[in-house]
Amino acid sequence: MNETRFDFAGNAITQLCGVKYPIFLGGMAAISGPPLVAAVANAGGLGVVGGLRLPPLTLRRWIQETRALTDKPFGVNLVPQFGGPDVFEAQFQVVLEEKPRLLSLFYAEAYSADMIPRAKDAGLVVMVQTGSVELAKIAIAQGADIIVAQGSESGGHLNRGTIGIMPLLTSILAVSEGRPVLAAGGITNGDDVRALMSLGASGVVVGTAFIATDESNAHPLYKQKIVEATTDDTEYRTGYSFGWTYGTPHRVIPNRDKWNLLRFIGGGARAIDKPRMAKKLSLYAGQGVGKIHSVVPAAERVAELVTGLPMSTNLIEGGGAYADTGRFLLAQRRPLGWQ
Amino acid sequence: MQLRDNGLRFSPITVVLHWVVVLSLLAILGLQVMIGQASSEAGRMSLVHLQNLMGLILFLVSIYRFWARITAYHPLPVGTPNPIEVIISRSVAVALALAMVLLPVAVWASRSAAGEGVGLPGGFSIPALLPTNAALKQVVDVLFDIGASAFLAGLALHVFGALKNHFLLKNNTLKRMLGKHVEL
Repeated sequence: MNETRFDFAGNAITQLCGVKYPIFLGGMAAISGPPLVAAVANAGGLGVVGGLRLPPLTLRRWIQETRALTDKPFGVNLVPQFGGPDVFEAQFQVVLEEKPRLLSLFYAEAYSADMIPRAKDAGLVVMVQTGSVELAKIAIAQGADIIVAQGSESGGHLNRGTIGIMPLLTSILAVSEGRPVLAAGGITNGDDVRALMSLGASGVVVGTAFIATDESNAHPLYKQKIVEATTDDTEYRTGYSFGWTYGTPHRVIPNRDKWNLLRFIGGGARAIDKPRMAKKLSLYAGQGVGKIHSVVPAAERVAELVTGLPMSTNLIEGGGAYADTGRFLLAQRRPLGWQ
Repeated sequence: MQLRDNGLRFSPITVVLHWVVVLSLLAILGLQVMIGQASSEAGRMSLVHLQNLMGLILFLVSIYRFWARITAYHPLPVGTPNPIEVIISRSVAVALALAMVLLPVAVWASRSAAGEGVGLPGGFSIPALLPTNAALKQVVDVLFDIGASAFLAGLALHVFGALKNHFLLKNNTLKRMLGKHVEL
């Protein structure tokens, strides 16, 4: 049966990663676990497992659990900030063996020259998250397939996070040598996606908005704080955050309790943590937090974000696989360079 | 052989020295009891010299341990502990390692200020650190008492954490420090 369908036609990112939409889940440590990653992947986006702080055995288990929940592509984010180079290498070995579709790297400049070629030789797509043009140039020189322009609006850790997404994205696009560039920072809905795609982004990376989803591994009180917070409520910090080198920039909803020493620590609270963790820590969140008003299924969040993608109207016979549809529609489009 | 700790496992040197320190501390405490019960001055002095030797060994080992502790990565915690507990347990472990460098120095300074030599078995002795000065000894003793109290409180927490992991959480934290290879 023929039907008229409005859908995203696909672009370099969807082709490279084999997904329907260029909507990426941020690989948030302990929060982006198998249920959330699989939910995003099943909704057509690209889920990314938060590998930071996961011992190698646990990382392997999380990848396998994600595979059990979805047959769609997904990625793994690694950060060499916890446990040192030996842990990082062991995690990397797990990734090489398990072969998720994508390896996402953050704060890994010192290792990437060696790791990116090894990952690519193993058939992985490599994405590097950067917060400055200089870091983007390094990532490009080291062979990254995808660059993430992480604006200072982003929650959690930043590198170095002093440039807003609009100037950062356009500046990185100017040096990207044709590589797709994703935008990150303060993106929570379709309007944000539309704005950044119109500036040249090939897709988006979303973190905070996915914390407030049913499948996220965040503590219910953490989700509640995200829902209740306003745009004015986040703060850029360079103090201590759990597991990171002192001084690493990060954005949090600061805890203001006067006699609470834990308020000086940035962190996330997992569902398995005691409620006081969520009550006392300053919790990671981006500046888009004021636009998140409820905890919803991750698929609903993806669907909302997708409304900002450029849609094509096409008469589609039957309901073919999205990858086929994407390639077909892409062939009809005028090449746009960055797309 | 792995000489330094890394994020995946302890070095055998770390494991051995950890228990050398435990035994040295127990020996010093045991010798202190024996010194109090010594029947003759000669016997008491030989026990004091032995205790000083144990203190010197503890001091030298502790200098290495503290340096190794702050210049190498530490193995990831076993299980999925509360991050705050990880911060506290690691801070306590570093503080204990530092205390075991500083407290022997305080004892050495106190005895020097009291005009007492630090004799060792075989007729050897450690030279005085400070000139004889009663007021100075009083200050050093106060500092030692504060440091020793904090050390004992930290040690109690450290032992409690080890026992909690072993008996309550039933994980491999204590066994790892006994040399068991724990795959992370």
